Amino acid sequence: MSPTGPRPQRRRSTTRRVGKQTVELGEAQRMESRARTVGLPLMFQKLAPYYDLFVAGKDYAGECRRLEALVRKYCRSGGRSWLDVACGTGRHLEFLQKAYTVVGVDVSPSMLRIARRRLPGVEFHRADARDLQLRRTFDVATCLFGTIGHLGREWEIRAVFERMADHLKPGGVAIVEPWIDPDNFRPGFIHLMSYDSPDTKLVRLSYSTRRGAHSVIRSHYLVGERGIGIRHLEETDGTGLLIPRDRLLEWIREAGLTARFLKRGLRPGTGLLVGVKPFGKSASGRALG
Amino acid sequence: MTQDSRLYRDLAKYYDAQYSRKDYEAEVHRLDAVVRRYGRSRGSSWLDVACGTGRHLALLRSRHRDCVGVDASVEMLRIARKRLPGVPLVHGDMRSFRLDREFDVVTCLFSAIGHMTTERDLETSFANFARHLKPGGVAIVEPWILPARARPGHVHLLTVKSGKDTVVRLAYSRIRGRHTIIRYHYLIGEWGRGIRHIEVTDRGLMVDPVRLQHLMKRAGLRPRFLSRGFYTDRGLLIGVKSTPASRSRQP
Repeated sequence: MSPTGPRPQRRRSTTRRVGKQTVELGEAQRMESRARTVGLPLMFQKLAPYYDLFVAGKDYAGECRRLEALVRKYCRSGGRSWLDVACGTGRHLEFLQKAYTVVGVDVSPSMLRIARRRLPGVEFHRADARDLQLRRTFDVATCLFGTIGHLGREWEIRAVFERMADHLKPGGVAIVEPWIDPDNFRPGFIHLMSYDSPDTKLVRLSYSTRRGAHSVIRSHYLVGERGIGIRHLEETDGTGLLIPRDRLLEWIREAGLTARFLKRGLRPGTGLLVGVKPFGKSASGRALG
Repeated sequence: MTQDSRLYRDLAKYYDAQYSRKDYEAEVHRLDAVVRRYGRSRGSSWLDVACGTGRHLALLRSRHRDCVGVDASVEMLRIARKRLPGVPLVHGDMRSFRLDREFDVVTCLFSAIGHMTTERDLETSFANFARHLKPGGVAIVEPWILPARARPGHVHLLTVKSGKDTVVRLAYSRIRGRHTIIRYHYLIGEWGRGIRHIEVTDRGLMVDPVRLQHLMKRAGLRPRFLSRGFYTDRGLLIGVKSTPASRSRQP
């Protein structure tokens, strides 16, 4: 989809996909020329069964402790309901469900399938974060792990902030873990993610460059399975918008939340955006104390 | 060469980083012990066939003054030359190189012999090693994986950080007849330059110790197989060139 292409109709239904495009092996070269693709990344479709192995080193428990501490600090709505937007395979929810009534939303059926298996009692919905319309409100709404980096345009990210705000009770808190901060983005960088067990070996090697305001991440995947063989896949993801933190603050405030940016995020180099829905109808665009 | 030369051409630069944990020191120590035990010639001149980047030679040349290396890859030799100034390094195929001189020891290590994918090539190489041995000299060959110890279907992952660059190698092994077929996928990530994907298929002939010794004998060397080698799935094959004295004793 070109930047000037038709703007998808918003709020039509809760099940519309971001894009129908699937990246097939060998198609990657063509993908490169239209790097700002709207297809789901391979990690969330073809490689979804391996996702949890790829992120095996991620400290979900620690991240959830921090998130809960932030909620205790900022949330004023009093309840214990938690909406995780782009919940993926439900790793955060697994920890959060112990103290909260959680609901997970994701656009990828493959990821949701895994999440549902992991957390049989939890309510999940397949939905695009930009169109989310659950007709309920929550005490907490999160959107973690740089998910907004999969949306390439300002209006899309603003739409997610607005939908999160829609789903908050007065006094409820939104926590967004943004895509890479422009100041911390290192073009030319090679990043390795790997997983090594006797039966399964996984590798993602990615190379970051910058095109205007967007990060362009070229990733090569190797999947090796005992008795089966090795697959190689590649993709180019040019959707990540490198947004200065004051712009992010401006957008989330314009979505109707009082907000602040926390430099110390869940992982190094990203920070956290925290927004609180004001009581009453008036407030917007205020700084959070 | 039957070998896909990309393995040593495009990847020569990262070869040493790949095997940074290989204990060359211990191997050279063991090789010296084997030579002391089986060698019957007087000197200690040493020819390393398929010397690669010269890691063994770098250690050998401090113990033995007269060291020479041969390798079929120009790129690997380029690295070896930097490492071993003053050491004669010759470009050549192990089946056909001719140095017109003899050595006390000829080695062919790290299963380079596995690139000989037929018994005929194997025997030709052994004969060529024999040609370059003094009477009483010893050839030490580290064979390819022994048929009884092959583990097909396994995947092996190696990740190497070399400065800001990262190289990943994922290998999958199969067996087709007497050959191992190893499919290597390399991802070479170079800082500021990008990532390359290189896919290489490597065939290797597996020969059991009895047959290996038979081929060594046919090449004119008195064979011996040591099941304790540098890797548990390989062992070491030894061939000693007969001296005039020992020749006269044998009918």
